[in-house]
Amino acid sequence: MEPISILIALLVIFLPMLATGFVISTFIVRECSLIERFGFSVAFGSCFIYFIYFALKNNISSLNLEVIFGVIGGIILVYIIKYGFGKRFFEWLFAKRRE
Amino acid sequence: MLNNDKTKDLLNNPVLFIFLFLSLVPLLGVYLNIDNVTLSILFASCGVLCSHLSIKRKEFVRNALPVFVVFLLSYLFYNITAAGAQFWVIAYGMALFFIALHSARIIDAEPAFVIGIFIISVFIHIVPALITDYVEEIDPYYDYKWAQEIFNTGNVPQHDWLTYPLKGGLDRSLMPFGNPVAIAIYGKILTLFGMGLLQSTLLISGLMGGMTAVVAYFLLKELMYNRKNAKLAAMFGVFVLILSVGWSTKVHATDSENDAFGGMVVFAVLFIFMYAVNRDNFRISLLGGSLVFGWLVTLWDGYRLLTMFVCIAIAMISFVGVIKKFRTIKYLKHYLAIFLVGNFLWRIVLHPPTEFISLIPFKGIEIAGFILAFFAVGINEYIINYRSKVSRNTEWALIAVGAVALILVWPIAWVHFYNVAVVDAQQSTVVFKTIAEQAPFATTIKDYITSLSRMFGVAALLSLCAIPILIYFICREDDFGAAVMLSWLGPMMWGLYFKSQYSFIASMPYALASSWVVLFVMTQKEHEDGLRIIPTLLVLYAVVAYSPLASLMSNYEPGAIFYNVATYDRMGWESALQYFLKAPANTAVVTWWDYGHWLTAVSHKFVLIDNLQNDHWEIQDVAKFFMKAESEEDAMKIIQKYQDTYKRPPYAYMYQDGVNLDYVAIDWTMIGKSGAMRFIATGNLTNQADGEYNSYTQCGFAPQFSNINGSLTTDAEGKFTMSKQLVYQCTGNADGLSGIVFTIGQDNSLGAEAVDQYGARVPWKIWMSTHKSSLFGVKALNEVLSVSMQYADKLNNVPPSYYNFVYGSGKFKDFMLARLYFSTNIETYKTAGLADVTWSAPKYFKKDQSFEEGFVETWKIQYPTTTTTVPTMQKQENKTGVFKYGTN
Repeated sequence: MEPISILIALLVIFLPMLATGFVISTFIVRECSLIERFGFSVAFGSCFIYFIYFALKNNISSLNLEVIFGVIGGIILVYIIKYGFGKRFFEWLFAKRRE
Repeated sequence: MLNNDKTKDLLNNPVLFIFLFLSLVPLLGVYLNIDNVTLSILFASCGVLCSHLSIKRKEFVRNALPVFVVFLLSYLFYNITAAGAQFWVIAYGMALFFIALHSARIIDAEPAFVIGIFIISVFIHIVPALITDYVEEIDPYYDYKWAQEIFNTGNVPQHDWLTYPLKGGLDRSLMPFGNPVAIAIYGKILTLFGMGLLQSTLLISGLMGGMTAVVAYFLLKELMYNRKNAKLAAMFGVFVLILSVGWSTKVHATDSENDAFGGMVVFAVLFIFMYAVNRDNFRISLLGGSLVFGWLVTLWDGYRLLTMFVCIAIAMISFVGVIKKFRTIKYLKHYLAIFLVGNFLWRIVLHPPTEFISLIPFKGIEIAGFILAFFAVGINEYIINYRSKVSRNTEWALIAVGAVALILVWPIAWVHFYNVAVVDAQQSTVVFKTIAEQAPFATTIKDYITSLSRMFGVAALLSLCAIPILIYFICREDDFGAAVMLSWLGPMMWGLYFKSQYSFIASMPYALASSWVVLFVMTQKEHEDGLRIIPTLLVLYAVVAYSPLASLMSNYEPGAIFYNVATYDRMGWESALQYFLKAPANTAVVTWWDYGHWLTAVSHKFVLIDNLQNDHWEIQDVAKFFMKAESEEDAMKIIQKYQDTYKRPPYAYMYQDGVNLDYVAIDWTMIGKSGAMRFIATGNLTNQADGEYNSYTQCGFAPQFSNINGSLTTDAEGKFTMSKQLVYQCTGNADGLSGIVFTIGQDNSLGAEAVDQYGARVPWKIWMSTHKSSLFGVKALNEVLSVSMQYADKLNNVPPSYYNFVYGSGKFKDFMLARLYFSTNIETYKTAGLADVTWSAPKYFKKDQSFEEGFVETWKIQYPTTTTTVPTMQKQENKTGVFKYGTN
């Protein structure tokens, strides 16, 4: 393989792992240093494949890009809802209600 | 953010800029077009300059390590011809970059190490993908095969129809296909970037090399929790791991087996378990540990060993706890949570299609492990917590119940452990005795230690030294991490002795345990100031022994990790595999099991047996076909049995006329494997009694003993005559034939003599009649002789069929392997008086194709009664161009 292709392919393989590992570990391990968070992200990173494997094996879906990005995106979305946009939205919503 | 003073300080630091510049030079080396001697001088000069500047700036201690790496790079450029030197310079350039950032205090040591070791480890283990686009060797094709199925169909297969027809294929519903699923997922994503499944297959294990390095570091830190210098010791352990040849046999690009991925996830489970235990955080075990454990089981079989050694560690620390009065139930609690929830998670993935959850019972090794752990923790809890609260009668009752439980359950459970650890390790079946990786790693303790050093380097010896240190930590300091390490290392150390196959899984504890020696040494030196130079030097020696300087000081060659790539055998088969790919889908091929995964993964064709060695009876049938049947009729009986099977359901349901067993394929390496085939063909599979030890003999051209230019000699009449002598050296054989000497006279006459084990020469005709033997060749006699002479100085570029003869005696003259593979040119050997066989061209097997100059040859099966018809295929050109003769 060409070095540049290897580099791109490695990033494409690794980044989804890192992202999903980061999200999963954030929910499970609450207090750790940034570099430990990297370690946990790597340790949990490949777990998203388990969810896809579960779906394939139980005929919930077959393998295609929509399913793959659905699972990866779904995991990241949970994080965003919890810690990002969603949390602020709910805070705002409840704040309004209290008023 | 850097404050202004610090920024100013950095910008005024010339040493940092020199380091950063030098770290980029190896990476850009190919584009700079500078010769290596110049680069060597550049690095040496910069090393001197940096040393001078560092001393002047009073930063020498701080910059000592990057300066050392600069000098190391200078040496590497000077010695660029050494194995893997071109890759070492890039790896050490990367290391220089991160070390320099740390030396300049831009980044802390730990992040610099973790990110640096990740990138370096990925690079080191990705190198094979830079060398070749072939998936490596044999076993990785199994995962590649299933990844293709999943990639192409979108579903995980439940059954393997392509192999073992007498068993109706193999049920795969419980097979852990996590790795092929991962390859297929990434293959799909890579299609968006103009790549696909092949790239995903090639790279997955190389990336795991980097990820494992990261997880291993954090695992080691947790195993050495709260210990001073744990970080440094963990760094050493990871450094040793990524440069372990044993570990790299599976962890590298182009190897798509599940071992690299599985190994990484084993580290992940242990890391999470130890993290949870050290902080007594049940949430992490219950949610995190179990998720990763469940995923691990759907990925790799190694999880059972994990359970075994964790349970042994719990038992070990519990018995220590009884003596030293501390409770250990938390260890069991955490692992039990991981195990039970994890078991639910994998069971809802790995189950038969008709069930929602797999109900297969726990394996004996797990039961045995947990019984031991429960027993030990029970004793610990009872003595420390409850003994004072129960009456004497109750205590006796508890002892009685415990004893009965032990007598009834433990032996049953430990039978399974015995089977895995003893019977399986000292494997004794006829088939497994012929498989290299099933063979013992060593036969004596001395041999074991020597082989360990070759496989793991200095780590092997350090790990042996670590055993008393680990015991000391367990007994004196109640160290559970040390208990885990010892109970991991011990069984693997023992198992590897009996089985080479364990070299990969044993590499993990061997590499990691060595870090305890470093931890111990660094702890001691603080107390014994005067002697600290000795252990420090030992640690430095160990580190340097894993650098490219290793070859100067030991027989360990870490550069070997770069060259785990597909070899001659795999490339020699490529054109044959492409040929079979174009055959009808319902075609089956008879060949030895070594090529089963290739034919199913690349050609997508049926084979009788494959590398799983799943059904020893079918393997024996194929062995009998090649190495026991002495007539075509006997051979056809075996073929017909399989052809009849292929005409019945389930195959008859799959294709209108069932599957057609139409081809026989033989390759050159089957000559070398003939001994194994004969052993299996004549072995007893019922009582596993050995078969016959005998094989074909290869006689290869030996230019160093030959006289290919000719010399003057005198003939019987005393006249001068010019003659050439060609010597062919033979591999070991029962007949004592050590070589064959051909004499080619001026008049092109050919004489042949056998050389016996004592060096005596015997005219070939006498030898042939005495030993009832024959000489064969895949190529015609004259072709072999002429190519041997013409390419005497570049034989490595020539297919083996052109400079090797094959010798066989007794029944070996008439086996189907000889009748087929040597039939094309047998007349040339008969005519020259070198072969004495009654057979000629086979009747039921029509020569079909020859690939890569006879490296692989195929025959079409002609059944006595017409049962099948297969469309005729066009002859294929040799497209790979692998075997190119050099210009003369």
